[in-house]
Amino acid sequence: MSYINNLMQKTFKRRLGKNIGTLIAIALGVSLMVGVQITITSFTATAVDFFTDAIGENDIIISGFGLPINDYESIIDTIDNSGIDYAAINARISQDVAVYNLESGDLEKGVSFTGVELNEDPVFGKFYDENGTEMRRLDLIKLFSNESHVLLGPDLKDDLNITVGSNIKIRIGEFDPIGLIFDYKTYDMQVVGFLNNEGKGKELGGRVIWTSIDNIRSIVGFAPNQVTELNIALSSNHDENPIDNDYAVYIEEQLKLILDAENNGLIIVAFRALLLEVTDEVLADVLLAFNLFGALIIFSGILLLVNIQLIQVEDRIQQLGILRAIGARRREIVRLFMVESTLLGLIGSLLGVGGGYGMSIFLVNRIGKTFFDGAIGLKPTVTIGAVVYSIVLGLILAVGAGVFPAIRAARIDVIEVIRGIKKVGRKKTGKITLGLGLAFLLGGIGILAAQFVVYDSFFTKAGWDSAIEQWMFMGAAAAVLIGVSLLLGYLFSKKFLGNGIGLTFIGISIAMLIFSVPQLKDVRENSKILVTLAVVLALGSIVWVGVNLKSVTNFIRTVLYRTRLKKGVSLVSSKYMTSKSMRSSLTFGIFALVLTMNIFAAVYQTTYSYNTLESVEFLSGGASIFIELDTPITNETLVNVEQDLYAIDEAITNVKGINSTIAIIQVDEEISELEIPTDIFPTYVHMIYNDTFKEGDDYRFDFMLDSSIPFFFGNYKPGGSENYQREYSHQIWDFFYNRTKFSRNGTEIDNVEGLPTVLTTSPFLLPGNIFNITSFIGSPIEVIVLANIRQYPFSQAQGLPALLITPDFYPKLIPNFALYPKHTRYLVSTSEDFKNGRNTEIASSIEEFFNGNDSLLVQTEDFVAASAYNVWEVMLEFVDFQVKTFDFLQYFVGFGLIVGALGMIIIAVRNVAERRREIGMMRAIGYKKRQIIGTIMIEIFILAILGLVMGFLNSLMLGWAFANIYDWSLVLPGWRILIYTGIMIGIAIVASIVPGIRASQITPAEAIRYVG
Amino acid sequence: MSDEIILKTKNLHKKYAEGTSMEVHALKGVDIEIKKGEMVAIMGPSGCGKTTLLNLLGGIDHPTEGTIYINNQDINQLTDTEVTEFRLHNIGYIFQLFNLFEFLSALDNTVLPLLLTDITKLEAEEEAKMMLRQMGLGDKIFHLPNELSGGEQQRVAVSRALLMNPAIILGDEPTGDLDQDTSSEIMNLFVSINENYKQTFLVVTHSEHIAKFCHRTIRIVDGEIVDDGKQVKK
Repeated sequence: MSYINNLMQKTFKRRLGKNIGTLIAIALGVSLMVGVQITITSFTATAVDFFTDAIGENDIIISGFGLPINDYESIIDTIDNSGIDYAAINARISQDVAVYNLESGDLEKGVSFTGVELNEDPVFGKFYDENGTEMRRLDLIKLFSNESHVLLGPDLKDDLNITVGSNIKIRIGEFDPIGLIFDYKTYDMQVVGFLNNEGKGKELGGRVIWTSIDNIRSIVGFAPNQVTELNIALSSNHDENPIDNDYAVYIEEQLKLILDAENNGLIIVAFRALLLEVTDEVLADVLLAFNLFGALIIFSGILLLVNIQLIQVEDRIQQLGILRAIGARRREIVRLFMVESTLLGLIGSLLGVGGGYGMSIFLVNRIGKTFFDGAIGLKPTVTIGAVVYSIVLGLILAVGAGVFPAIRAARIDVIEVIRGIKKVGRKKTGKITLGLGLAFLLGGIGILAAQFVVYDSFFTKAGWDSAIEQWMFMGAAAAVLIGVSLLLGYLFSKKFLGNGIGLTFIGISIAMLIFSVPQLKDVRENSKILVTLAVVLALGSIVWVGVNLKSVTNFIRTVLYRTRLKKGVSLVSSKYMTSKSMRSSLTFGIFALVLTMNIFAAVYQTTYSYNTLESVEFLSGGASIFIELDTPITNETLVNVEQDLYAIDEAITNVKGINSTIAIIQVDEEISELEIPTDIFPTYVHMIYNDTFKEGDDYRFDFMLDSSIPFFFGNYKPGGSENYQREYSHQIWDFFYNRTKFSRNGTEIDNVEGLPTVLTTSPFLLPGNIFNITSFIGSPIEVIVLANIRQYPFSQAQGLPALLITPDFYPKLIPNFALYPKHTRYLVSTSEDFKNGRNTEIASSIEEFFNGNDSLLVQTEDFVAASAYNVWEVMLEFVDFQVKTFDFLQYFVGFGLIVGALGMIIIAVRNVAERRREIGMMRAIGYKKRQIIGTIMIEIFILAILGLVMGFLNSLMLGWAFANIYDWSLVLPGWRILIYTGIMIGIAIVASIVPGIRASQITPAEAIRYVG
Repeated sequence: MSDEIILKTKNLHKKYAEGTSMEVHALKGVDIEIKKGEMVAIMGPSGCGKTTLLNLLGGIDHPTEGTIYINNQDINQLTDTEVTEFRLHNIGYIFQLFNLFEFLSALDNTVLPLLLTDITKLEAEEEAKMMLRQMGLGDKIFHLPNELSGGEQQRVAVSRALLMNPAIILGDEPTGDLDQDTSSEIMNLFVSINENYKQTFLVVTHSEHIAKFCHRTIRIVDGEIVDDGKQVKK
């Protein structure tokens, strides 16, 4: 045995250069695995901290939904007596106000005016001054000793151009749809300081005006026993003593019961748990993308690792034969390779953990800069699980890929090995394959039968209600097809087996992407399936092309023969690839995966951008500026306002005012998807005039509509060509304007007994839904949803859904509405470019027009708070998180690309090192140096091209599936696809030219004698 | 055999690891002349410089000193690309271990040199097939090397070397890996080619049995020619 050890040591030293190459490749592969996991874990942890830090240690909020909570102290007593264990409780009064800086003339609406108890427990967030110094309670008492003194959050300071000592006006109150009065009160205040919003619990305080609870109570006229909210912290430090979400929800339920929430008009929400859920929701898309791309990156790492190990072992098959010849037993040889592979795998994996950590430091730093404006110092979150998993996986793959070929080789004839003769493999597979085939077949049929029994369906829409069914079908169908492939392999040839498995993987994944995924819109549910499908699709295509590599390369060779290349160059490179089909497949597989990642990321981004941003101008009917007023302008001034707005800037081409109010929707059943399941909820009602969008045949604001009741375009899908969408939307608009009524099932026009129609932005009110709307002072009106309108600005109505109704509803909904026709919204179009024009400047002029216009102050107290938005910029802000995700994804997949490229170069160099003898032979025959370079380059190039084609097709398939999930139209980024293709070709050139040149420099005389 | 000198070396030296403590003076002023159609064996003990000489003659290694003329061309004066082109058209190589590409069929292995010229693939393959048939491999042209016996593999290597109709064929222990019967078979093949096509052969061997097939035997000991074998066989 000692000679084996001795030999192992010597071999290891002699092949140091090659071993280092192998180590680096293993390390790169494992780096990708570790880096991806650490990055995703860090992102999740950071995002959760980021969101939850903003609320301090708050767990539960009790509020009166805009109305005061009466007798709050007795509520606290009840909670105390209930035995519910909490860490702290506080009471606050918050009011939504508009603020006016008397000196600068700047205005802001939607600001929170909040009064806090000066002895409030610090778990709800300490107060820091603008320099970041913690404020003492005595300071606060002193500051708030004057009732008109307030502190401002930093965002307000900037937005209102306020300095210490500035005088401001705040106005409290809003339109009361029941009383139809605008109940406003204005107060003069003085700013005495600013707070910083970076402390835990204060991160939402940027747009808050702070005062003491006593002051605000006195200002707004609340009784001493009234507040607007109570906050409860169940733990004083959630980092050290986290509260389980389920427990928080349980306490929420307990409180509802104890406080008789329903009858007392209390809204009780486990806010932290809800926030975590919402965070989860917000992160779902991002994590899906990360996991998906992460899986592809890890997969490419695996291919890299297996590839290099195969080279490492194949290179030494002859040495193995010699060992056998001199008497080494098989188990000794296997041990030798096992020890070597374990050593390489372990060292490579450990290096990979280091590399992965380095990768994650960079990526996590990018996360901070990209998502959180660099506000938090991020450190990678290393979990033991991720490290152990990666090392173990790296080790298993390295040892597996190193030892299995050695075991196979140890079985073959010693003489043949020594003489470099390869035994011709059996064409058919053995009895184990037969057994496996039958097992798979029967197992698959069993699962399908179980699925049919349990869900009464194999593959129908009705049977696809849950992820588990999809997994079952996917698994069962794959098992049946793999079983059949194994049987074909046994009966005919291994090629049948390879083709069967490859096509099964491709077929299953494509079928699932087409038929199944679009039916499950829940991204969180789908994420694992999608990730699996993406990997299975990639794996299937690699296997399938790998099995048919001979046919593919024969075809490519025939093409190459027609080029100016010497035929000897084409012949050797293509035949070599076919002879090493496993390694060739792994190589083009890496190309394919890297390209799949990059093109898919680009397709994903452009598809998303188009469907959310690029299409905004078209879908929003060209309304480039949207104006919201907190104070309606009366009818008398209405005409003037519209006229005056035209005069603000000559680029303004169209102005239309809309009346908006709040009404109540009542549906037949409770909507369980809402946070508080209810059958009644408020909605904004936009009263659309006969000429708001359309004058004659001219659609002045040509808003596009989403899916509609079945009467229209039975199989209409959002997206498609602009003409298609326009034609569809115009039909709906015409029905809407013509007050066409529809039968209750929405399938036919019934102007006699049918229901009037509304358009809605609500995700819970779908085309065909029937419900009542009421303002409580008029009669309820039963309506049917004609279609959804999901475009800005109607999709943005301060958290409430919006309804668009025709003018004939007004008198029914609000009997005396005619007396109060007031505009609170304006749509403005301009001749400026939608994205790059001066619309922000014009919007700013519009704000100035409203905010400083005395003639508008007919029934407002001192000021009108108007916000004029550049629609494009609002949309940019709206999708900011997603856009950042894509930005970050570029780095993420970029790492995959860089590491993949490095791996490819190492593999290519190692590949050449192994072929020294062959290259020497070629030189001896008469191959010139450039022909040697050509041979190596063509080989890598063909593999790269195969990878490119495969990567392109796979990424298109995945992009299409993604578009389908979100009902988006697929947009292909032509230029970026070309650029990525160019980069990949560049990598192929580098990965081939370096070893090519090295190969051409091999001295033939030495190379011929080379034995590895 | 004609009187035309097809290969000539003058004062050929080859040193390995020159200037180091490991320096080996493998060839020490070798002068050889080989006539067209001549069949010459180079013999000597292991490490005497036989293979080194062959590599220099084939232009796959460079002499430290001296000149090599093949077909009146001083191959040392050629650039790497030129010497490679020269080798393609003028020198055929046959190795002890056959040195066939294991992933290419007998036909593909044979046709390779022709595919580096401008001849069409069909024409090249026709010529290669003809050559293989002449070598008695007509029924095995699509076999891979591992499906052929040692003798058959070497006949494929010979076919490859002959296909370009080279000025000289260099054989480095061409029968070293074969049994005696097969070795004789291969050498008889060489003799027959030599007689029929006036093909010049230079064969490195340490077997007297093999050398007997040649017209002349040059003996090298320690990098120097001790006998240039002027006794010409009939």
